[in-house]
Amino acid sequence: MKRFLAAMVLLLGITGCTAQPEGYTADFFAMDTFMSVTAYGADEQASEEIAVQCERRVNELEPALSRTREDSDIYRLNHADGAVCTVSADTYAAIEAAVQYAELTGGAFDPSLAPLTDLWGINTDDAHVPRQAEIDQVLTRVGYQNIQLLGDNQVRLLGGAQLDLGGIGKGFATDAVAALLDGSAGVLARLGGNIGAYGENPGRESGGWVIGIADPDDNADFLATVEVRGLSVVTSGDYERYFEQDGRRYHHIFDPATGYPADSGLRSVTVIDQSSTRADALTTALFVMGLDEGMAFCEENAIAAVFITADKQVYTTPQVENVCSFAFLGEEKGYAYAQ
Amino acid sequence: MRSRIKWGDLVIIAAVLLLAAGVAAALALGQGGGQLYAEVWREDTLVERVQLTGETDRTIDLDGHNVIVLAGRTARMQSADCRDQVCVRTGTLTRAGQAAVCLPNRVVLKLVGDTGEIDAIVS
Amino acid sequence: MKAKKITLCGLLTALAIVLSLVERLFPLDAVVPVPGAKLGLANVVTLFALTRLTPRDAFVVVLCRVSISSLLMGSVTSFLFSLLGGLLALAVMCALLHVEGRFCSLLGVSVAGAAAHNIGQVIAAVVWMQTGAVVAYLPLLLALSVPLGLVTGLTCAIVLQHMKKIEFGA
Repeated sequence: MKRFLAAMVLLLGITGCTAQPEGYTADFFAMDTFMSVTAYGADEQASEEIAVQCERRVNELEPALSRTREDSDIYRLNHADGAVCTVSADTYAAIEAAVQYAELTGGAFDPSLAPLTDLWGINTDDAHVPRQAEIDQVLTRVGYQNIQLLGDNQVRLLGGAQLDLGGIGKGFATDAVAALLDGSAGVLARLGGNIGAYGENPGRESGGWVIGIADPDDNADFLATVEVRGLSVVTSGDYERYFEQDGRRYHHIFDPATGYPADSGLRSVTVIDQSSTRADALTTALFVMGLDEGMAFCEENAIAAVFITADKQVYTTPQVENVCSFAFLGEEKGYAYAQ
Repeated sequence: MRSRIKWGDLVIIAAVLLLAAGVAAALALGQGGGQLYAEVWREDTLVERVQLTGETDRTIDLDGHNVIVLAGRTARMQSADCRDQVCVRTGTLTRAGQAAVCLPNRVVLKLVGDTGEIDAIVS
Repeated sequence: MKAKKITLCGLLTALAIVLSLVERLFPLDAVVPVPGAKLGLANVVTLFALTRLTPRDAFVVVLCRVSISSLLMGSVTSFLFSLLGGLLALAVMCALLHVEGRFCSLLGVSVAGAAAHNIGQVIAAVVWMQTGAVVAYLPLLLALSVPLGLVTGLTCAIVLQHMKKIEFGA
């Protein structure tokens, strides 16, 4: 009977829940998306200070990365007709990173796609499939090789190229937030589709942050989780922005080679990486590459990535288990984990 | 025969069933006791904060621009007059950390509460 | 006497293994996602061994049954679950048998044993799977253990009744 009682005590102990420490969450709109930074500092005041500091840093970066604001560096650069422009240090660093990742991915990620997305009218009321001649014409202006970094914060765009840092902007902002932190506080930054999880999570015994990878068919739910610390998790999916025409769906991730939305049989790609900027660029590039080429690329470059395909398979690269703990939970939704 | 029911048998059966109910209740409390709130933000101000219980049944109409339905421990953006409908497509929120965001109208519906299964969803 | 006892233990172990095999026809893990979760039919053998032999013999039978049936069809996990379930059931039934006849009948002992069996399985699952989540299935398993315990208890009582007639065992 004693053993029986001991077992009972043990069982009841397991079901007990842990107390939740007070954090502070700053919610705000920036970079055309909703952002939310939660900080767990030494006390509530410290938490608030950290969260507000992060918000301020993101707001500060917005004009440095925006393409649409007329007072922004990028706007000036795009309208300089090939003349040399001096930009802010933040902008220069972001352009440098964008070019670096474009080179790394052989152009699968390209920060000069702006004329193409404009042509398709993505993000406007006038989204439509353009004529092939229009696409061909616009593609002649696309190519990261036309971005010239001249040092001393000087940049020049050649051949009618237009820069759009939307593909790495949120990643760049996430990294900027990470740079503010010294690791003493736990911070969960949700900047649009980019998540940065830094320091210790006081809500979990393990201290890690559990991030759900969205179900492409139901974004409020998830197919898998990764538990991370001090890393960023970024997803690109065809479900984020799209329009329909003649019964076909056209999403917002373009293949620079064809000028059409990438038709690679993927629904989403998630990258787990220390650099959110890198992860941001890589999710787009891997989505464009498709499963086979993307997996090979990841193995070559030790990238932790999770692929979700249109035929309901979930793939992880070998690096995933080295950087986080991955759990597949999509069985009930008809997904299979292809190991 | 040794199977003739004695009062002690009933006590044991009752104890086992009680234990089952007790564990079930403790589990329900462990989850249900985790409080869940739905927050509705417009621009950068909190419009509404509602605790979600099993009995919650409410509709919040933001001047016809966004209609939010709170039902039980769930919340969803039922309709929005924006063009992209991203918030409506987000579907039903059930866990702390989830959010449905209407960018054009700058409306956010989010669930907050104790740490659940996950801390955030990346999409 | 010794040879007879060893034979009896062997017979009981064999019977318990057969019951374990029969159990596989009702794959409980389909309902309860705890790999290796069992109904605990083999507890009837444990109960019988406890009533006709010593607790020590019953312990040996449980150990042999769990080891051999795991070797035959299980895995390391199912071995762990069965072992903890089996031993906990043994301990509880052994304790309750002291008051059997006055306080309760074999039915009560068997129900308590079935409940202990399931608790043991869940504890093993918690330890092995490193998650408290499986405790969620305990209420269902406990509720199941009542009808199941009654069936095994009744079976054991009927068997013992017949044993009396043929003057078997001790």
